[in-house]
Amino acid sequence: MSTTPAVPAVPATPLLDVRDLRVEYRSRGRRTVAAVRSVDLQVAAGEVVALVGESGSGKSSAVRGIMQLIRPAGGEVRFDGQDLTTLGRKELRRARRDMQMVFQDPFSSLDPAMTVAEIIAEPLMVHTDQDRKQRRASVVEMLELVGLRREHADRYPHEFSGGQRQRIAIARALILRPRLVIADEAVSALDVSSQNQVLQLLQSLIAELGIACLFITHDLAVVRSIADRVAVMYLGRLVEQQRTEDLFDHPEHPYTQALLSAALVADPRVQRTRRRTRLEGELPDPANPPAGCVFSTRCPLAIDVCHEVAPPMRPVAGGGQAACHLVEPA
Amino acid sequence: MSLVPTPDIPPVVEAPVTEPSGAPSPPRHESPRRRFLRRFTGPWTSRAALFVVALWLFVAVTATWLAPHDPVVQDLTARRLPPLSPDHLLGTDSLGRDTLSRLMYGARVAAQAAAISVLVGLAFGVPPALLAGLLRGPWDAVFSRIADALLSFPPLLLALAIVGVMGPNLTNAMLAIGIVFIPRFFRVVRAATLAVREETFIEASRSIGTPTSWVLRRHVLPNVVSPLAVQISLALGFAILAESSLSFLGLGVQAPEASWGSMLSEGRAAWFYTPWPIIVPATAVVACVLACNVLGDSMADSVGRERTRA
Repeated sequence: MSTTPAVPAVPATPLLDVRDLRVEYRSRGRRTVAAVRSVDLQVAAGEVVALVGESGSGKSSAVRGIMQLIRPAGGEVRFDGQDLTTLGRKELRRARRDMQMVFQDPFSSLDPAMTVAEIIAEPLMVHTDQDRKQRRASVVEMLELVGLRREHADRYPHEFSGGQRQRIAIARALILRPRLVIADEAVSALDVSSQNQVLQLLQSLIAELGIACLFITHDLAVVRSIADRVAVMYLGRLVEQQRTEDLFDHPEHPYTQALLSAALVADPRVQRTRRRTRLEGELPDPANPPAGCVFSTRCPLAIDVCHEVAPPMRPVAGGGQAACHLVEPA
Repeated sequence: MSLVPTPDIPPVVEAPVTEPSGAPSPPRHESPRRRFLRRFTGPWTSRAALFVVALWLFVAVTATWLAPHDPVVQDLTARRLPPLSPDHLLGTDSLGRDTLSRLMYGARVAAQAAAISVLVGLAFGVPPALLAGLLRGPWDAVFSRIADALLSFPPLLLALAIVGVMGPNLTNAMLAIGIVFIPRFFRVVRAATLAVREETFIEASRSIGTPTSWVLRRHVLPNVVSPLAVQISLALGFAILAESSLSFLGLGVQAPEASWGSMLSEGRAAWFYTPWPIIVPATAVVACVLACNVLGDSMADSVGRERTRA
């Protein structure tokens, strides 16, 4: 999916520019848990960026912070130059027109009491003053674009399979032709065959419409086929950010290396001969993160300094960035 | 749309929708409303209940034209006639008033009472419940405490107090019963809203930028209607009972107007000699209350979502 051969690792004028994002949850005892500690992330117009991490790493919280579904506890979220965190209710509503979401679970992301046409037309009702006939036409066009048929418009979500529902969700997200689509584990809930279909669909649609995409996933195979750039998240922080080919070629951060080595290779002969880095233990409790580097408790290469000093993001060869004491800065 | 011809999007394979075995397989394309009706009208009990309620409402509306006699006109030459007497199908009471006509006008009173009280309950119970359930926080705390306080009053005692202050008439009595319904509707709708707000489609709607009032109207309300309908049905039954009770005590409909409760009260003195003026309204009360409750129960049985997972 690379657009031009020379994609800069960090775009100069990004469409979405997230700086030092912090997302907290307040639990019952007034204790705050920071699911996202400090994330810097940029997405250029038309670019596809994958945000990768295991469950509990804060990917979804980061997305909710970016979308202002949870008001961030700190940092900036600039969309098209405008800091969303400072916007009032009305301005924020207007800004949402250009950023739409596709959610993980297609079974709860579609209102069971509404027809498919009503679901897909909702963004039109909110953001445009199209009349019923115009909306209907847009819906039908969208349905056909996502590979459904016009007669599906008057059915209810429960009559569709998971893959079809996700197509409906994609139709809803794209009907306003937004500039950014955030797909939060958009294919993880689907079985493998529909995963591929839906992924291809999303990929071809955003490419044709020139829509930028922030693609959240834990599946590296998916990343490779869709993303221009990959950001790896661990325990509420980004640990590495590189162009997709570079990341798969020479992952810099030990966590990324472990992630890549955990992914299966299709060829069994190759798979047998691979050196695998196994991660010991569990993701630490986000309420009680380790001192120093967030990954130090599970890192096979950790040295003393890792347990004491948190490594900053530093540029690496090839234009990416990694947060590790052991990585030679470029 | 400047789109290149549709890209190689794989054809959509329709997954078969499976229905739990048992009931005859429903049509493939069925709206939630039709699915509800199919399940709701299945058992004979709910059809019978539906019939009784329909009859009650029909008589209530048409009593003026249908009643063979004026319900308050006394005919002292035709007192305490048994049922099936010529010209008096259900007999007459001790003042010679036609029991059938009084029964019909009583149905109208019961319907008015039920309508007033349920509307009051809905108007003041549902909107705060939606707000409290969706927004939580201080709104929820305040509304919930008020509801708890209202809930702690015994219904008829509250009605007695209100009628005592505002004067005995049907409207006041039923306003009181409506107040009794407020916390009950509130609780049911709030609980259902709490469940709905966790669904991703609410978050999806917010991410689109849908204003809160739209979210409430378009997403929350349609998904809490089912449990609310059950409560309404049960409330109708309670309203009939409450109206009869208050009228029986002389706090609702005032003589000589006919209500099922006042008929019971008036017939009480001579019930040993002529039981008819009591049996007839008592049967009406029992039938209607029972029908409303059966209706509520079978609604509750029919509203569950038949969710299918691929």
